[in-house]
Amino acid sequence: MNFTIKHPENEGGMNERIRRLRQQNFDTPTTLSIERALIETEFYKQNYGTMSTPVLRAKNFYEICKRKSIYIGEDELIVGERGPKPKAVPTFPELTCHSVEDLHTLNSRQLQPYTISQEDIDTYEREVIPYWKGKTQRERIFNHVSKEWEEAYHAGVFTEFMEQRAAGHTAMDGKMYGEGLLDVKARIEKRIAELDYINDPEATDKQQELEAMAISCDAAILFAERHAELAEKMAEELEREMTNDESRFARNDECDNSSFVTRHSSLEYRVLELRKIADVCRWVPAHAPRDMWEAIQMYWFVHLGTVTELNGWDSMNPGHIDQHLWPFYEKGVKDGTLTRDQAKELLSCLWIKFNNQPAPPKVGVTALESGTYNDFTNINIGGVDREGNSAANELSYIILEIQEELHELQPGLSIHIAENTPDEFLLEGIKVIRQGHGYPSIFNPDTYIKELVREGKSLEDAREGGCSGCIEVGAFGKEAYLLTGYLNTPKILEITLNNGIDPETGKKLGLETGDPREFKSYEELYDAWHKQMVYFVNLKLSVNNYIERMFSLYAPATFLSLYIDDCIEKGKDYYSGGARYNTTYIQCTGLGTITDCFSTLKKHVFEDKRYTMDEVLQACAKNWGGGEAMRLYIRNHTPFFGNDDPYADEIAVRVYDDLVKAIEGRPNTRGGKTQLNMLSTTCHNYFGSVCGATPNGRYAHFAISDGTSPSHGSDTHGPTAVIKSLGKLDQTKSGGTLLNVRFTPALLRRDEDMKKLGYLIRTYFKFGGHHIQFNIVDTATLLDAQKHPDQYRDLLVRVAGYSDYFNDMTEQLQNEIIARTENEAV
Amino acid sequence: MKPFENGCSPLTVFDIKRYAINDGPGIRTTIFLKGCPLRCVWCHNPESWLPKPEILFKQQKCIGCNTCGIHPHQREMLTRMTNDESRFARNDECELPSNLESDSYSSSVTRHSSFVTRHSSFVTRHSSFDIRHSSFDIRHSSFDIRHSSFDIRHSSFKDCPTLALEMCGRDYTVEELLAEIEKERDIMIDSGGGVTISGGEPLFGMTHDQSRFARNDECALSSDMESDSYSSLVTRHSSFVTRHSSFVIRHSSFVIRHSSFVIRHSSFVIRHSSFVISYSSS
Repeated sequence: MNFTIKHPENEGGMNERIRRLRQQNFDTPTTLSIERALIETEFYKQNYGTMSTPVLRAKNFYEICKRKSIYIGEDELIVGERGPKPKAVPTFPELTCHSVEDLHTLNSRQLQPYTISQEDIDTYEREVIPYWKGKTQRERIFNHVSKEWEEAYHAGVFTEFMEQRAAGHTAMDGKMYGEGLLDVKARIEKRIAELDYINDPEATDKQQELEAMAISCDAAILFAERHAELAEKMAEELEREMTNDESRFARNDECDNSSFVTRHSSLEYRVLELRKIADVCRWVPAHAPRDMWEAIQMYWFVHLGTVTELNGWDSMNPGHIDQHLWPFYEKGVKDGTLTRDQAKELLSCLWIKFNNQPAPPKVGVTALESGTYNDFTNINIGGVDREGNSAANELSYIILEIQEELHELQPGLSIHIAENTPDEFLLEGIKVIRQGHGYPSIFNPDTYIKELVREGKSLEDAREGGCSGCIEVGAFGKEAYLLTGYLNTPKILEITLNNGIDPETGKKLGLETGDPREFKSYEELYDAWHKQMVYFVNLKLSVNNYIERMFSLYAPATFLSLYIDDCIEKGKDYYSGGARYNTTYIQCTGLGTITDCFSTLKKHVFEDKRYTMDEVLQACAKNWGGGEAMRLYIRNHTPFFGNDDPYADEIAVRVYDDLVKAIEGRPNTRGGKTQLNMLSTTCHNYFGSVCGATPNGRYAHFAISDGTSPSHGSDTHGPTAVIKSLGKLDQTKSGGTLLNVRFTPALLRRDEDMKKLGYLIRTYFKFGGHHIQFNIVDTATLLDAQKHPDQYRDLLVRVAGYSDYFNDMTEQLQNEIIARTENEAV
Repeated sequence: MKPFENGCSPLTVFDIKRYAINDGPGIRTTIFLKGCPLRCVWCHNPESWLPKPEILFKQQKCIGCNTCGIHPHQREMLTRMTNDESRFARNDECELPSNLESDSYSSSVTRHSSFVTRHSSFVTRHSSFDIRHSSFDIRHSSFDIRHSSFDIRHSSFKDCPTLALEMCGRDYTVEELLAEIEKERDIMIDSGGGVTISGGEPLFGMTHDQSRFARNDECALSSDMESDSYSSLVTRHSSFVTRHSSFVIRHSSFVIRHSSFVIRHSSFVIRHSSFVISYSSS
């Protein structure tokens, strides 16, 4: 393995254009735009009820594309925004209509504000809010759900992704690069012509859906054409300016010859760029792209179409972009029309576009559980192609460079390391990880291909799959996989330990599974939890299916359906089973916490009888008040998950397998099945905040464990023990697991250390790991670790010639290390 | 010393670290053997000095819950030098310059490293073996105190909620150690890593049979050793050391630092190691 910088000529990083665009992007405040809502409301007022829903949605999309403000920024090469300008976020009142109070809160809150003028709020109150009252998707859902569901939902037993946003987690395959929308439209028309209205009872529905898809094609082409027109107009204006300049220069008004020449040539250059932009926007998305520039712009128009039509979670993802763009790059370099730097510049422009799209603001419980205000676009690079060969190419390396240089919030980046991926690529990725920005995360195609095949995908489609947002995987361009919400497994234990009652709300939420003080054995306890878990899973599933139908009936995605196989062939929408594969996910959180809880009760209550169940429950009820010795005893003397300890790991495997059994294979409304997923995003914080103290020594309202990671500070035997514990779960039964590992930067200082981290990753993947990511911790974390040592028992830091757990050091040594890290940061 | 099935007596281990990335090539498991003839003031692991399992008391972790049932006075005795006496020794009370005569054979030395560093004269004063020897008695008496309270604590230290009282060191048979190493076999092989035997001073008190383990004849993984070569075993088994080529080179700076010390005290080592053997067989 070598560590030389691959391309020293690019060491300088971003060019001036990208530097300016990036700066502009950082300086632009997030604003709320009511433009989309106004166009949509007006359209609905005039047309609702006069046509079928798919056609209504498509025409609504067409209207937005026709009327919304078009923006082309000064330095831009790739053009188009979701709102009227960068970081101006539209609202989607057909799903969730923000109230006046919501808008005021968003405008004035300290963290993550969305600026909106009083005038716009007034307009919204007058024009938008009254029309949508009672007609939003959110109201439709909450008016339908049972009292049991609603109480469990508000208590934080589970969340619901789709109550105020559309499903996202959508990633593209490569078809858009070989087929323009005019070709797609021809395909649709052919399909309509083939419909058999006599023998196919669904033919009329199909005809309506297909007609709507054709309208969506026109809408996107029109949207692009409007960009071409604006670019041309801007070019003409610049030319006029130049003519004025020239005449002034001729009149000798302008004395400084050199500044005139510089200005003149840069203007001249921009005119050429604008003309090229116009050409590109006239060609794509109507036709298949012919070069790298057109290919990137093609993707961006498809991206914008998807996130304008509906506001899916994790919005939209280009999929294996390094593979998709490779033919354009290769051809351009070969025939001399493209240099490496130009390709990098174009891709950087796209990167900045991704970061220009904050998420539409959330409300209610969803705003609490989701601490993110960006939609995730997780760029997948490396991995394998449809034939299973390693797919890392020159563009993958360029993308790593871009990610390191731009280090924006979005897009995220993941490197996909199959067994046949070269070490060189992994090491280049680790170099970026070392920067401490938290990415790239690392995925194991060998495992997730097995997951996808197990769920019924063809091997080739599975290989083309990957991760769209966090860690969830799907068959790119061929699957509608809806993530429907998180399940709070420790909360279910809390309810079990209180015989069905939630001590936080005082309400009876679950089943009466008996007073745990009466339980004679650990098995009785486990069975009780199991019954409650199945009950809550069923409760959630019953509403999942209702929500799916509501999307199918009221919010079909006629544009997105163009790009997901086999919606056109089937004549069915993305939300109605049109996709080749249709999966519904429930994401389970807190595996580490619940395993530790079970381990604690099993060992100390049922086996060693050190404490009675009553003692533990009372201590939890008092949030360990007066029980600190007991709490610390539990923290220090219990086999916890993540230590390669069979005692705890067997519990984790059992919990995991039972969750799989409860969730997997239940039919959804789209001809597909429900599957389990193990991600938590930021929800483990929310879930912790609604959960009292737990038997594993966790204080009330403190975060539960994330993803499949061990719970905070429970893994004390180093990262190899963690990956071995995780390796015991059959991860192929999930649609994704998540493992966070924290390291200090010093652990990755030497090139040798990066290689060793590479081995750690390879070994985890050999154990069947799905995903791993590294947190290279900073001083703030270390200071927090000093204040709350119990939460950071797994924090490994380098001391001198050796590494040690931060928590095991004297305060002086800790202070010294903190001082060192600070010096490094300067 | 009772021979075990494989003809090897157990080794006293005070720590096993997985994902050791700074102790040799690849990803390693480092086994820290207990027992060291040196008493360096800069020692990171003074709990490794005694060649037997011992109970450590970490006052900073004690919440005074009294679960251990040890009388506070006894607990105090465990940390004698950490509290009143060290304050006195540091001369906080009388503000006169003070020096300390000690063989530094005490856990309080490291816990109060700042204390030791303040006494720069401390190390040099102990060049002569006689002074050391005289303090040997003092040490021995405090040693007794520790061990007399051992019986009381034996039943209760395990209950300490915070691990303020903790057994440091455990006798592992070679089979048990091999099982520990086995847990990491995959990653060791993938990364070209292996096992590092560290200490304490791993060669201190190591018998010829045990050195077979250190050579790793049993598990067929690469093995390294971290040693200050302060052991009679080094000379007796020179062939063993030479096989571990990385061993000498990596620790050359350390060896040089200690070279004069080693030569001067070579006679002491032999005496000392025989003391350990007689002690451990008693």
